[in-house]
Amino acid sequence: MSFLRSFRALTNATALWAFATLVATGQIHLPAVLLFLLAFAGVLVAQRRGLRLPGWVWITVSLLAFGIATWGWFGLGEQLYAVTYFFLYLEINKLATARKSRDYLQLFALTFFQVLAAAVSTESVVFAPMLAVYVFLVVAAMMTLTIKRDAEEALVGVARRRPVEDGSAPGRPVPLPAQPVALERIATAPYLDRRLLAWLSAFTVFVMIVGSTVFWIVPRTTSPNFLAGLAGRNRNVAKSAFSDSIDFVGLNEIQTDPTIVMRAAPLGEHLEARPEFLRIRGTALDYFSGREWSRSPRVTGRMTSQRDSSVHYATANRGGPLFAARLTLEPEASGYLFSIDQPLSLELGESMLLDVDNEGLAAKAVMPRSQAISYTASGYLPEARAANASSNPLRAQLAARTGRDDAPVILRESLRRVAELREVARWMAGASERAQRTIASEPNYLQVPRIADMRVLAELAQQWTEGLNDNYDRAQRIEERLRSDYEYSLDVAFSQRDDHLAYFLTEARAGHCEYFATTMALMLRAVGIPTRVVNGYLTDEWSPTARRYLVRQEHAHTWVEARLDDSNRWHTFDPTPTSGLGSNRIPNTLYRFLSGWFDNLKVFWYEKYVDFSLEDQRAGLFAVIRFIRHSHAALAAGGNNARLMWHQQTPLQLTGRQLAGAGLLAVGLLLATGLGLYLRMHLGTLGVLGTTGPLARRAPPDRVRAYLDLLSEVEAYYPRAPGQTPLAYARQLADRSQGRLAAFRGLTEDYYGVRFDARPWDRQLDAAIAQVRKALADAQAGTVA
Amino acid sequence: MRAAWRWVRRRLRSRWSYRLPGEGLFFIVVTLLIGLAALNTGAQLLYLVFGMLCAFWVLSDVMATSSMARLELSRRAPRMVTAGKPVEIAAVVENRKRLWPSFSLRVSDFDGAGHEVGRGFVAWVRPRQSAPAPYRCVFPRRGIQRLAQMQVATRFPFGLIERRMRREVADEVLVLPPVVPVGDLVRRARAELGQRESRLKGQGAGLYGIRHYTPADPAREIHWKLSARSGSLLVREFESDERRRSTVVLDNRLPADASRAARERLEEAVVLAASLVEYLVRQGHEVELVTASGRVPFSAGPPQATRCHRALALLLPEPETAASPWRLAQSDESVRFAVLFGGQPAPAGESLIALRVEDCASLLARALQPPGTPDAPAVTVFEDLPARVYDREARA
Repeated sequence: MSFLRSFRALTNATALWAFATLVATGQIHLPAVLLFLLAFAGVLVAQRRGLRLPGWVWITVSLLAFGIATWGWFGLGEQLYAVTYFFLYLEINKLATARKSRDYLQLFALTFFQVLAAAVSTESVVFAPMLAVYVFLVVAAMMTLTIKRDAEEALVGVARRRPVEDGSAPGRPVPLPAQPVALERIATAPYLDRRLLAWLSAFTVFVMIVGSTVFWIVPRTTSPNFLAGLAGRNRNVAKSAFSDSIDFVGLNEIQTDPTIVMRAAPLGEHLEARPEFLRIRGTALDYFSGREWSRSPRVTGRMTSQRDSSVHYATANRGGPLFAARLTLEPEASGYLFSIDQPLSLELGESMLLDVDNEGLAAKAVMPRSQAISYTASGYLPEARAANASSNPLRAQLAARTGRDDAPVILRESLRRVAELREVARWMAGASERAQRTIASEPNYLQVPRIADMRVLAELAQQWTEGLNDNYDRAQRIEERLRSDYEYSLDVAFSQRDDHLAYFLTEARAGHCEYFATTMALMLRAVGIPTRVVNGYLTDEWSPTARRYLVRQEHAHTWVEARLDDSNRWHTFDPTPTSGLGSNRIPNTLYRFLSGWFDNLKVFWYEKYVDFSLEDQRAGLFAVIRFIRHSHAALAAGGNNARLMWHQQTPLQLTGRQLAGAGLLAVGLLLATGLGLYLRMHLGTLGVLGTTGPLARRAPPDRVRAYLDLLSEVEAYYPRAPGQTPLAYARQLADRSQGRLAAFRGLTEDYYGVRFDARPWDRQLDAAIAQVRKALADAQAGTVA
Repeated sequence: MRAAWRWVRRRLRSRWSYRLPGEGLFFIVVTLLIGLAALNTGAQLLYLVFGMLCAFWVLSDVMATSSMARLELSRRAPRMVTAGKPVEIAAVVENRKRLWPSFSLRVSDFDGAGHEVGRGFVAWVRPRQSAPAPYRCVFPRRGIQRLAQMQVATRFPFGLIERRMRREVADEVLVLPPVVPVGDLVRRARAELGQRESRLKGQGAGLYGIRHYTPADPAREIHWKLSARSGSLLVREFESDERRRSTVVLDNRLPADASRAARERLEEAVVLAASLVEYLVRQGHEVELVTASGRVPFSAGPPQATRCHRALALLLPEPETAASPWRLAQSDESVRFAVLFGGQPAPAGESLIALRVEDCASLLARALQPPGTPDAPAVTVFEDLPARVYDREARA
């Protein structure tokens, strides 16, 4: 493709791609998209046919389209989008009428504005590839534009720089514009070949790497975020299966949807000891109407609204293994902040307005979450799981090392962190006991619907628990019976029946987790045990590459919690048959395999870009310092202990002196950078810093050069008038120096003969030059004297 | 210490220098604004955009630096050019890097006084290759034109920063005086003087006449056809090959306090003399050029014209005390042409053809008009090219 055609193609592609980036954010409405595409197609046709419409036509069309697209937007106060539209149509206008290089520069600035608008409007992972492609295109387009501008300026623009004839130099050479054929030669030169594309790709990779590095090292602040408020007004909040009610209908679709909604990355090192199944808690529901579960108004009335960056639950279920994980949630409508099975705390990292349900151990953001969010959740695993875990040899080693049987399964990055969590747990214990005592007196958890099915449920409960006095035994018996006597099935056509619960128990004998949980909860209530159902996710999908649990829509799950005594502890029961849990129910597919890999990229985007914070920067910096310290210590220790010392992960404690040293180092680096920039800007490239050495001067090719060098030396002392020939200059000099430089005149005459009459030097050149140099020195000395 | 610092500065300044174009300044302002917005809002993707802009800046610097590294500059210029005529000079850029190409190089050439002579452009130079950057210029006056320095600059890849490097690349171009058509002028002057015929018999190629054969004549000169027709032997006689000889005399003596106008007249006289020499040489004359600075002896043909033009290009005013050129002229049978200017009287007692600068002022004014800009060819901008270029591509 020729140079000029490549330039046109790259310019159009850049404009179109910037628009696509904006569209990908979901902020641009369909009429505006169609209008833009229509206008863009018009521009392409005009370019192809060589049409040049007057500028006013384009401006009129642009304003008209802008008016149509933004009709009503100003009234809604969405000025950002209105301005974006305005720039969008300005871009089309510029694209249609661009002629000079400055027009193209403005065009690229407008495309950049679109990318900027996209950057503040979205945090989607789609932005990353869109930005990468935009960088590729804009690098190529601007590179081509620079070549074009330089060519125009050098070959054509020279005619605009007319020399000033001031009379002192009438013989000054006059530059002329190049012949048009020179421009045509460049315009038609082959461009965008494979080699150039390789260079462009290298440039793009360079920009992405350096850009990311700068992104990671620029210090973060915690100042107010006004643009995030604008960005938060997202109309396209992604929906997930999760809700704070259960209606038995529609679960089929949910439980066959492999979309990843969440990831849980355990914090710590001994991931081999992780639980096989991880329960992600959404919310607990206490009221059953006969058709659906929901939270009773009494519970919702007790919820507290608070703006905080962390949540500490008043849980009494401490004692099981402590577990902490980094949860990364996709955008979803309910606003719930999920937690570990028996939650202890959530650390959000940013302040949010929250509704906290201390009774149901749930928290939700007041505003729906339009963006992905990452936070740390800690909580206790069920004790039954703890028993399994303790049989793990690694678990035993861990207990031996820490000296505690109840040591957490997963160690946090440091023991300090675990200690903090335990302190929080102890602090919360007193409050939770009081709260639980109050809650225990509430009758919510024994509520049963007034439906005919309850009689069947109560009879079966009595029948199954006959002869058992202990509540735990009763609950366990019902759980076992449901697990063993019934089957898991997503085919619940009977759910439309009025007696669907009785039908499930007596006729169908198969259903999904909500039927199992509901029947168990109601049966326990029928025998006087307070229960509630918990809505959340149960996953056993572990990604060994990403070292995290993947939670998909199809992992949605419901289980039962029962309070069996006055200890205010809620015990977890899961009556769903194992065939309906996790991977037992879900077949492996290629999509699931690929989506796992894609999800790694997505999480990387969320964690390393979208949620990158000052905390992460600090952790990275400390990791580097720790690495240096440990490496130094390991070298001192002989190197064998390096690995051990590295894994000790001792907390970093910087003394005041070290902090002052680090500060001085930072200031020094800053000053050195500034000095380097100054030197580069004002003095050129230092040999020691520059990428290349000095360019070698070319040696004089012949004896004529020796004369020219001598001429330069003489000129340095006696200025030569512009345009003055060397001979005239030499004659004038001989007169001015009272004959002391007469030898220079003779030498110049010889030079003329050699240079223009092809005569050989008939004098001893070196001797003549030495003579002139001596005369020059004498003249200088005379002048000084 | 100060001397060392001065040495360092001199060393550094002789290499690359920076210039920040308006676009670069605008880019810096936008980058800082976006950085501030990112710090203020905490929007992570603004940080990312800020990082990308910084990367663009770094890439600009790196690429500009690498484009300029290890470049060698040279020049391909003709040794002699004619004043007032456009001449093409090629600035040659050699890329001595092993791997990296150099992109978008603007090469400027400067004369000894530091004025830009012309500017060429090279889109890219592959590693270990060289590329010419031709440019056109006009040298308006005769004499030696010194081309002293070359500068290469690039704004690649984004035009945000410009790096320049200037090198001493000395060259000299001898600018010959322009030539105007003086045929009519000479013919008119000769008619006034009276045409002198000097045809002689000799051994040339032209036919002089036919006469009867004598025993001394060589047999190869017998004209057999005419002899057969007339019945007696006839022989051919040939013209002499001796060329016509002309002497052009220019008295370039000027008083020391000569006005600028007088010096301009001398310039016009030089042009007239050069034009006369050119005309006479083309007419087959042996020409001698005589000035107060010296003489170019009789010779014929284009080399003689070049010799005379070269001498005229380097001609300087001589003091009034210098020897008269009429003394230097050989006294023979040649036709003498005197180029007179500024009220110089024609020498008494000489039979010559005198041409006065003042008589052909309009002719010379056209030749000595500064080149140029008013009559420069219409500027063709890049954007006007596509249709034509595309047509050509389509035809291809």
